[in-house]
Amino acid sequence: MSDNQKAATKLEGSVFLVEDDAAVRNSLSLLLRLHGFGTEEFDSAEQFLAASVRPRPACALVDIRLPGMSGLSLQARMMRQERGFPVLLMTAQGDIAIARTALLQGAVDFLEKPIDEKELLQAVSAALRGDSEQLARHREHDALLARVASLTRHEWELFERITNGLSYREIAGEFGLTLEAFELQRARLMEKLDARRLADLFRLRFRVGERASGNRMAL
Amino acid sequence: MSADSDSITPANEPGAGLLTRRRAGGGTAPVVAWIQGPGGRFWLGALFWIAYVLADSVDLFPNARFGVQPWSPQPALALALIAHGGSVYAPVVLAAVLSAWFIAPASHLGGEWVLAGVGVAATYWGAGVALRRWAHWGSAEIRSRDVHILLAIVLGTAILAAVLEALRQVAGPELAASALPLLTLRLFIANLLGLVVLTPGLLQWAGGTWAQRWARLRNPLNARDAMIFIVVLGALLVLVFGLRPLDEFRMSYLLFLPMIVVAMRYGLLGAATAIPVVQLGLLGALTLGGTRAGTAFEFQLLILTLSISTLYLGALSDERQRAAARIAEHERILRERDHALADAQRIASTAELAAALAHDLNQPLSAIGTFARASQVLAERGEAERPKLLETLEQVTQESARAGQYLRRMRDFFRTGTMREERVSVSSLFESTRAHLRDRLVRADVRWRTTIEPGLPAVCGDSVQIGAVLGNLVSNACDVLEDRISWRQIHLKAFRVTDGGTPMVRILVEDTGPGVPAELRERLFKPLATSKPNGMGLGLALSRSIAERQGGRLWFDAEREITTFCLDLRAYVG
Repeated sequence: MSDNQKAATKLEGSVFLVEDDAAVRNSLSLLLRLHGFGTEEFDSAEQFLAASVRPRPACALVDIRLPGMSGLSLQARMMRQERGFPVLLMTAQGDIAIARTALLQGAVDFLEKPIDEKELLQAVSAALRGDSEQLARHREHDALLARVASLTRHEWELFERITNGLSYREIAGEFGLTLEAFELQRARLMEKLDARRLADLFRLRFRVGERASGNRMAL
Repeated sequence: MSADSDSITPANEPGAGLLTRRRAGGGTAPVVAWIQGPGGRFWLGALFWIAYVLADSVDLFPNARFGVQPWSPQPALALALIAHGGSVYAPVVLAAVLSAWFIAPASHLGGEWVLAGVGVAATYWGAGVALRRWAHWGSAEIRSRDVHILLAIVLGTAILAAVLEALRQVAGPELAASALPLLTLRLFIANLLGLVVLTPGLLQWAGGTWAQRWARLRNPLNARDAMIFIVVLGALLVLVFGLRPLDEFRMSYLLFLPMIVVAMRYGLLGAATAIPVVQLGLLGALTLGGTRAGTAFEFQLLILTLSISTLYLGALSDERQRAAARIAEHERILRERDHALADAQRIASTAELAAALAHDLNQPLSAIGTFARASQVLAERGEAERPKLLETLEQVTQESARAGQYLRRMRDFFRTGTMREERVSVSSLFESTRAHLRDRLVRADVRWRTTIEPGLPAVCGDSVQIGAVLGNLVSNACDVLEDRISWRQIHLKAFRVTDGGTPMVRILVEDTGPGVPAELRERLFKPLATSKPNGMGLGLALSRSIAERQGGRLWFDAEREITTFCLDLRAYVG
């Protein structure tokens, strides 16, 4: 109990409850709030999809059986989205086939009603933690992209040639630079990209990947 | 296998007849074996011989005064023997033919005599074999086709036998050759009459085992009907021949009456049995009363017509009865299949029901568990959370009430395990539904309208179950209308329809709600289909099965703009 509370208070995040049965929804919301989670309630998949602004980190706790769009369809749709958040599914029927589909589609967990408090809190915490980590990764990636985007065309070309493994002499020769001038530009490039060592440049190139270079070319 | 081992282990013998033969004949004499063969051939053969010779030589009806024997039973006897027993009796037939002529008073012995005898016997043999082969008079199912074949064979036999017999007689010194055509004709008619009258009956009674013959005797043509038949026949004969001023053959059509009745009632067996009886009765009446105006030909024609019509009637009646039996059997199988199907559906719907009930109870129970856990957390936090705690506990109470409500609804559906058939007036049905759901209607502020066709008959079924179905439909409508801002109305309509000739009462439940979502329509009547937050998803599935058990139907009318559920119920007749 106290462990749970501690774990809960440490975590920030919202749980989106998508459940058509008002009593089940209210009770889950109440319990999660008591454990320090933020909650938002939706009585159908459609209503949930209509809500535009969603605080992060977050996870969705979705009933399989919903009027209109089913929980499984909602989950499938969320999984197709870029940077979606984790989906937990719940159902009253212990249906193995549904659970299997849900997990294959990428649900992080599957809860059976009546829902056990401990399982619920563990699942929600894990999902929120996962989402936080994912958010952190996204942020880092965004920052990288931002740095790469700030390069000038000339700098990008240097970056590309260095990370393609050409020798400094070759690159300097190509751009008609003295070796000293090239060294100077390379140091500036590394500073701009927040790379301390040469290896950092290669890692950056690897993470930015082809798509970033594509973006770059489009600029 | 040696004879010794046979006698030691007789149980190994395939046929009991074979065993008997070996014991009786010491395993050597074929003549004795033949005599003692299956079915007592010897006795049958001997019986036939005596009957044949007697029929040929004795004038049974000396006073009939036709000048000739009106009929000859001999060909029929021979034909029936061969048809029943097979070619093994051919020598017996030949012997009987020859000895009958030999015994006869005006017999003439000569080469032609033997030749004609062989010819006649061969004719009988051939006809018997043909009958055995093509007409299935030994089988249980004789059709009118078998009657055609019998008549054709009998006709041929009568002609051939008559020609041969006439030739034999003409060959003698008593008759002139010029008498040949007339003699042939007379013999032909007598033969034909005997064949038509006797052969069907003999074949009918010869077929099967003694037990079957006994069963036939005892069962269909029972003593009472036989008595009635004989009494009626006697009365008719008295009527026909007793009314002196009239020509007897003018009234003879009356004889058709009992024959038709017998043929229709007892089929071919009855017909084949009744024909010789009528024949005997007629001959007896003619013998006793004599004939004045009638000729042999008239009499023969009457009997022929009577016999052939009766045979066909009997065969048709048999066919009709067999067809009726087949239809009845087919219907019985269909009914059994229906029962099996209904059982399977009942089991399936019970399983669905159990699943649905488990699901529906799970919702409030789940909520109760979570609320209870939340209450614990709130209680631990002390006085400050007290109002919140009380509120949560109140929700626990509500949820347990909801669970109870599900159970009660379920029990209501199944309360009447046995269905009752009662007269339920539509207006009282509407009124009780309204009373039952008064709270819901008031809360949702629904306008209630009913339209009942004037002079509408009451419906027939179990009032509790019909009430449950209608209540479910109205309750659904209330649920939908609760969320609606304006124009909340439920309109019940009832009017007459006919469903394949059956008078039905159709009840429409219309509501002004938003309608049923298209994706839900297909599985609307399946368990767990629901668009309602608190729905059991069971009501419509159950309602439909109840409506169908009451002989009615329940469906959603997707064609209409306004949300309409249709419920057909049987109209109360009488």
